Amino acid sequence: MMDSTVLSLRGLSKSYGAKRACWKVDMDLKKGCIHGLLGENGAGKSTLVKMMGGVVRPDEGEIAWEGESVKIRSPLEGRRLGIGMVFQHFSLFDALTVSENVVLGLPPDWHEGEVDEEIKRVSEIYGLEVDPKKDVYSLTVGERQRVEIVRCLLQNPKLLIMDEPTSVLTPQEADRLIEVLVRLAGEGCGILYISHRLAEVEEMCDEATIMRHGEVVARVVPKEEKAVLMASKMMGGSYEKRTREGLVKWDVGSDVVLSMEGVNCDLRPEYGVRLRDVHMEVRSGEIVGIAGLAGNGQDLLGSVLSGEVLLEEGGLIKFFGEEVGGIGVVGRRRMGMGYIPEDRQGHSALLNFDLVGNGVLGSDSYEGLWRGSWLQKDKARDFAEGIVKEYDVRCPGVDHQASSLSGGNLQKFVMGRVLKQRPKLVIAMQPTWGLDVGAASLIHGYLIDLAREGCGIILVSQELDELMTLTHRLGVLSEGCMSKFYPTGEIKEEEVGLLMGGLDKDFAEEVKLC
Amino acid sequence: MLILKPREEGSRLMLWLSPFFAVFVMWVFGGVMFWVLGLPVLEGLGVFFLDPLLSLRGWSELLLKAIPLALCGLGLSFGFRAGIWNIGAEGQLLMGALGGSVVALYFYEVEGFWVLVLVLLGGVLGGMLWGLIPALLKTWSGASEILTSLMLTYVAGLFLSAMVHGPLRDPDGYNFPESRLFSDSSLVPILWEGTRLHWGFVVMLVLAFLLWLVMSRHRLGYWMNVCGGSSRAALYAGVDPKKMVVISFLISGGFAGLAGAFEVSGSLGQLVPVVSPGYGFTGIIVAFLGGLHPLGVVVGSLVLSLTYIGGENAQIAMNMPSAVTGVFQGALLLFLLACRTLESYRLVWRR
Amino acid sequence: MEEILISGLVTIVTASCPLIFAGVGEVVTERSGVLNLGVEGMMAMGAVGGFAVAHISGSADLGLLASIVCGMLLSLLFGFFTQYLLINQVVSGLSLTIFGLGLSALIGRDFVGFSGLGFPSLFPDFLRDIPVLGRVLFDYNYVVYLSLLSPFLVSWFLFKTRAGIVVRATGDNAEAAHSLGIRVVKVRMLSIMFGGGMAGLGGGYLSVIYTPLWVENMVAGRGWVALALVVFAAWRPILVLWGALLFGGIAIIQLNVQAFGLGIQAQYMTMFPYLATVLVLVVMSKRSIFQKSPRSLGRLFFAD
Repeated sequence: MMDSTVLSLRGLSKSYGAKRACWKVDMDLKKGCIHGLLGENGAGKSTLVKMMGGVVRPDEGEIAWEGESVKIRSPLEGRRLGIGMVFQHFSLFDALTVSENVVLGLPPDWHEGEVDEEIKRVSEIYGLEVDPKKDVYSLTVGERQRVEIVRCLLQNPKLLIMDEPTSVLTPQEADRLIEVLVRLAGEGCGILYISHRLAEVEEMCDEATIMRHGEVVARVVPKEEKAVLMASKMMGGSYEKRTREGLVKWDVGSDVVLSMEGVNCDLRPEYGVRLRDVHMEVRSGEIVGIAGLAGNGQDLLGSVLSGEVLLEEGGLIKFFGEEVGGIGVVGRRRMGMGYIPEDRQGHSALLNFDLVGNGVLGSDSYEGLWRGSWLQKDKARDFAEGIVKEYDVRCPGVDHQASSLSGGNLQKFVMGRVLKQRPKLVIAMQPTWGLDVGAASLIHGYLIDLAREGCGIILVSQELDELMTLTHRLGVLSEGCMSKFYPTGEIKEEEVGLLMGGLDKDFAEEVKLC
Repeated sequence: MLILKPREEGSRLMLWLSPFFAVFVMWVFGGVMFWVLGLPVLEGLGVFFLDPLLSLRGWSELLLKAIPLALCGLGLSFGFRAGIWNIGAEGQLLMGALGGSVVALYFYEVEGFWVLVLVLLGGVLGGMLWGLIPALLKTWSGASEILTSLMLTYVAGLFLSAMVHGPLRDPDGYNFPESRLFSDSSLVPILWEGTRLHWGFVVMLVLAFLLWLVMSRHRLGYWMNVCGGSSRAALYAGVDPKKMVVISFLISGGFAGLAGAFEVSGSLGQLVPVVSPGYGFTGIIVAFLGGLHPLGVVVGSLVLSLTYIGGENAQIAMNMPSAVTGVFQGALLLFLLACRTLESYRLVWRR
Repeated sequence: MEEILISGLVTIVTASCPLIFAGVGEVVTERSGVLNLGVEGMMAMGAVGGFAVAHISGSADLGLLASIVCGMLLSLLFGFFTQYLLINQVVSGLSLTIFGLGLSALIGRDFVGFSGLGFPSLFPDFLRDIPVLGRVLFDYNYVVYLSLLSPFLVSWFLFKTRAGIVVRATGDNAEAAHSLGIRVVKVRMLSIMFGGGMAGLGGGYLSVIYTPLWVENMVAGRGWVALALVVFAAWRPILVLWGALLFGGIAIIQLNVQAFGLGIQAQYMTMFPYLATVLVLVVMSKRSIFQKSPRSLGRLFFAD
């Protein structure tokens, strides 16, 4: 059995500052075996994979290649050992042709002419058609991935690592990819398959490791385990779940604060995913949650809702019945829409501005900051100090740059800035992303208070726990499509997980029944 | 080896210190340069940087030359804050000089204080219009404002030369390429009797103060800073980037144009083929040396003015080549940039 | 008339030569993702360094070599600033130009008023004596042939060699290049130095062969025109060649019109190339299909 192990990890750890990305991970990958790696966003999968490929160096732990202890210091060394990686991002050069892209992944003695032949040969064998002469920017997402896979295969890898390979593919393309992988495994190649799509893992993986918060929480044989169970392990099971019972209940009003009807928006390649026929409705005092894995159109949804992007392709956005699709971000803010973008570093706040300056940013509907076009410095200062006091922002003073604040305190500041403008609707994008538990629960508290006072809230998040405890209704955004909205009490985490994984709704209904 | 580590918060101390470091390093560099050139080091530095400050005449000239430098630097610092690169201030200055001259010569026989006001406004208008061209080309087609504004500087220089050689030439001037001397009503009154320093200096200080007000208090200034900080934050604040390009070019063009008008109606008293020894380009250095802050720019303009005066002094006293001034100015900017790195990074020793 | 045509053609070729060198060099620099606005300054340094060494040593070849070295040294400074000190490329490039212009004037003051050296011809007399063709094809300095050849060589390098692919990959996506094990900073430093050497050579050609003498500000904006040419050529070396010849043509038309004395002031004709540059920039920027600037152009790369 020892002979068949290609790569084994023992106690691999990596921290960024105080944040543990990976903690004492053990794993064995075998020849001819497809090993699944499951976990939520931020569970540490990518860091682990980067350590295997030599992109990131581990702080601690051992890596053994075919039984011998090795150190992989660079992607080049990893490749020499026989590790091929297909990254999710940052790996192809748009301006180069397919064969040039492939050549860069090969040892220097390869020649472009030979490569064309090889590309053709390999792509015929595995049914991965690519035209070596084409420029990469002209390829579809699926074709791009084929290029990456062919680039890997030309290196004759003994271990192929694939990071979320099907997240960008159509179902048909995904099926073909799975065929190729099964075939490769049959030829003796080890495969590490990283995914959040449970059905795929269940279908093709021989074994699987589930990670959460940087640690391995379970090792399973997917074919014998139920998808629902894997989902619950991935999401943290029941032991970390906070309950809704502790929350004070309040009634949702009858006014429709915001409605979206059939909104379409395509701004690729600036925004990677396009929105397709999105419907949504938010009532006063209601917290509506939108779940979904990163990169499924949340960015664009936020921009369209806030007015940073104006609607041009049809659909309606109504705010208290008034059409606002053509009104810009300042106008909407003055009407009472508050917006908390995901990125605090250069979107909702400027790190090189002091807090007074950051307080003014996007505070268009707060009275008294400007007299005509002139900033009232003392008012702005009072405003910033008021936020700091009322929202418990720990900072050395409002004259200090935002970069000196911790993420949680900066987010509290941004939140306070929006709330002090007394909005009637708040769009909060991942408001607790990257925050510690204390700061997160404070932010949650603010949102709850706001809703109880009758404000409508759209909470976009990847954290299911958060959505399950806070929201009244819940929808899932998957590849730019919005699912139906379910009353939060009537849908289970596993079902949401399946919806996020792109499983169709009928299957979700089926799971719900059992 | 030594490597750079990003700082958590931009160091204000280094922001303040870096211009002083840079000036100091420039002196050291200057000493080495004099040594290489075979000139007496200490005497050279003394003549260059100290002598002008020891006489009243020196001071008056220093302040006089600081007027165009500060005006160019002030206007540029506005756009630079937003990441809009107008490097054609020299051309806008020349067009300002031309605009002012046209007005002055048109009202040659008219008297009244308003003539001077019109001359200066003519200068501002000339600079603004010339600055508007690259701005509009940028917003309309996306053409790099860096290259277009620079190309237009060459065009402006040639256009001015054509005017001086042609329509604006003094009819009684024995074919010399000069305009006739302006009449008294278009000349800027002298501020300091017995010297050439004129009221333009006071106007410059007032404008610097107004610009500081706009930068620190007005919505425009705030927008500029947000644009320079991050384009997504600008989106969040609802700022229109195209509008910002036009406004910043109007401001820097207007300031440079005023500088040009002050040169012809103040220091020179007529339009000549060579109006400026590169004040518009030096203005770039002034803007950065002043940390893109109006007060700093005024101080920076004095430093750069000193390099001009010192250069002239050294040329007369020690037969030092006039090009030394340009080297000092270029080196100062380089050293300044190197020192400014320490504002956002710290040096760390890593094996 | 024949004489005018012949000398016209010859002047087009010789006038475009420095633009070709500088433009082709900058193409490589920008293809690696670095925008070096210091071309004007590097050309000025190349011009003065080349002329000085040629004058002192009596060898024009040594002079040209020196011009390359001067351009490279200045570009090294730029590389140090942008790749190691992580200073904004626009500002660094501007200051490089200002510094280069100043330093060249200082060095050059001892060489004002001297004239350059003659060059031996590359081809035997009987070829040069062929009527018309002899002068149009065989009567140039070898540097001119080199300049005409360089776009093709660089094009071959960029598009046909592995090193060229590495350069383009770095300019397209520095992070991806890093993750594939390409040493981004090293590639960029080398590209910057190549651009510097070529700009220096362009300047050296001006002072050692074209004029041949040194006067202050003799580069006269050619560095900036070269930068515009790179945009015009959509970052393709061979298109730089055609663009440079076009500008050479504009220059010659302007000179001839002046010679004919059409009653237009000389200044208006001299403006022409600069205005043409602006026009070209606008047209090329408007037609965004042609604009495929390297995606990482001008961005700082910081590998932790």
